[in-house]
Amino acid sequence: MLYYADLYVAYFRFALKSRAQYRVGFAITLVCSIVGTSAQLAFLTLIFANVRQLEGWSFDEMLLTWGLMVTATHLANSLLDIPHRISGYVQSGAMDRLLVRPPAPLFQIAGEYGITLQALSRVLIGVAAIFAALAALQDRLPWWAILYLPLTIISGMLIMFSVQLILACLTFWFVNTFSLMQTIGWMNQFGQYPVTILALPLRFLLTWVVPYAMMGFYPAAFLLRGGEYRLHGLLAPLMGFLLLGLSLLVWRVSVRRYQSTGS
Amino acid sequence: MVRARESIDRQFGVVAAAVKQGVAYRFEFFSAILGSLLTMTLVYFLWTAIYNNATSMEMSYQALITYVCLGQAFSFARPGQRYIFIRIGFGIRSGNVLLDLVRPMDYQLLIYCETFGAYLLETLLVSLPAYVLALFLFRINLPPSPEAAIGFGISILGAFFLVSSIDFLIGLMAFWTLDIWGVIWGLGYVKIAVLDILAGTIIPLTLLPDWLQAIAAKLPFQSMAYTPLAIYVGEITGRAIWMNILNQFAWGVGLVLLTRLIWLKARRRIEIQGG
Repeated sequence: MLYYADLYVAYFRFALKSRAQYRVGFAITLVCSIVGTSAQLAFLTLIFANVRQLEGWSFDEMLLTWGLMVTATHLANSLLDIPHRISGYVQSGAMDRLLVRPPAPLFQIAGEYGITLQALSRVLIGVAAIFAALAALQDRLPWWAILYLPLTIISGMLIMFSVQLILACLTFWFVNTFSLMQTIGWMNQFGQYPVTILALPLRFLLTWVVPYAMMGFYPAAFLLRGGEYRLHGLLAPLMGFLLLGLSLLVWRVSVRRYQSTGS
Repeated sequence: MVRARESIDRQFGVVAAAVKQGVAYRFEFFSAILGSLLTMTLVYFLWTAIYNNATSMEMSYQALITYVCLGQAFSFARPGQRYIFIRIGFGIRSGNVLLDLVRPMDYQLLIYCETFGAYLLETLLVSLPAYVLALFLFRINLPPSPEAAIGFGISILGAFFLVSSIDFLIGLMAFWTLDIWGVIWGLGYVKIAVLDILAGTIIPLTLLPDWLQAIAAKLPFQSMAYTPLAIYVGEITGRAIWMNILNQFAWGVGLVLLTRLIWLKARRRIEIQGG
């Protein structure tokens, strides 16, 4: 365990160093990703320039949903940007190198390419949105929110990661699944809005198949309205861990199919 | 005369080659259609909810849904539409740009022709199928008049020139920074943000607050989405159609000239990173 911690610190330092080489570039990228994320927030505000409530959800409630979603998604993108890299390792044969080294292959990918510091600026915006929403919704918050919210964010991050990892594993079986991963990953935008505005099949899809609604909407709804959202709300902090187990299982089975390129 | 013929033949050749290259990635196109339909589904439900909850709205429900769904079918903000700046950035990073520079064709023209080929293919294989599906799935309107249909076609072409000039500009950034991937991807996100909101891809500009509408009207971005879409749904009609298209092409010429100047300046900075 200590070995892994040491190793990760070293990897992290490398990531920082390689970023520091291009300081101007890094600064521009940072500003750009802040602008990009703020534009989404601006869109949410623009919706509420036209309506008072969206299917019974207020701006602050949607802000909380949005904040949770963005924080969890970009935590996954900045620290666990692993699934997108897998096909590269498989196709180039670099998997060989990972497999003969002592640490777990997924951990090595996490260290070599999984750290994307730029995405952290988006996490900050997400956290700011959560705090702004919580401040506005203060008197409706139960005391256990302080435990519940961090847990859901971690679970949300794992949901994001696990879904992508399962899709990435398809690389071992047939085609390059990069664009499919992007499309499904992109679907998490659905989770930024109350799922109650969607038709039933889509609601089912986002709750039970690719459970992006468990990252933001259900936790926010459970926290603020309790009652009818109890089942989903209680499941939300667990979902990520369940999916993580499943995805690691899929990974284990898939890696066994790996055949080197032989070059 | 012969020279002009040759040059036009060459341009067609580049466009055709780009089309052939694109056809090889069938799976990507399938994902792009799927992605396009998914976004459409999202904006459909979102705007249906917004419409149902609004006390008054400037547009009819049918026009609104048609606008936002069509916006996704023909979106220039699609993540896949990063062709130009990836092409330029990669060319500079790898040194392949030299091969392009010694070709008997102007670099900027070459890039525009290639992009046009890729765009034509994407329109045929992604936008049109997504549009036809939207007609059946979301029951969006057909153009209300032949004039609207023709105006839409012309102005989507005008929008292409504007967007590809912006893309070319982003690509040129690779001449000033070595961290090509980070900067170009970052600017790509800003481009999407601008296209989504200031150009009016995911929100009809008429639904913006007045002050923001005033700003958007003075910028070239509205020509990249709002103009074609508003013509299609009949928000812009009659003489205004042609005035808007004229405005669009004026911006187009302006931006092409601007990019030309920057390109001529950038060209002198070429510094190939060794191997």
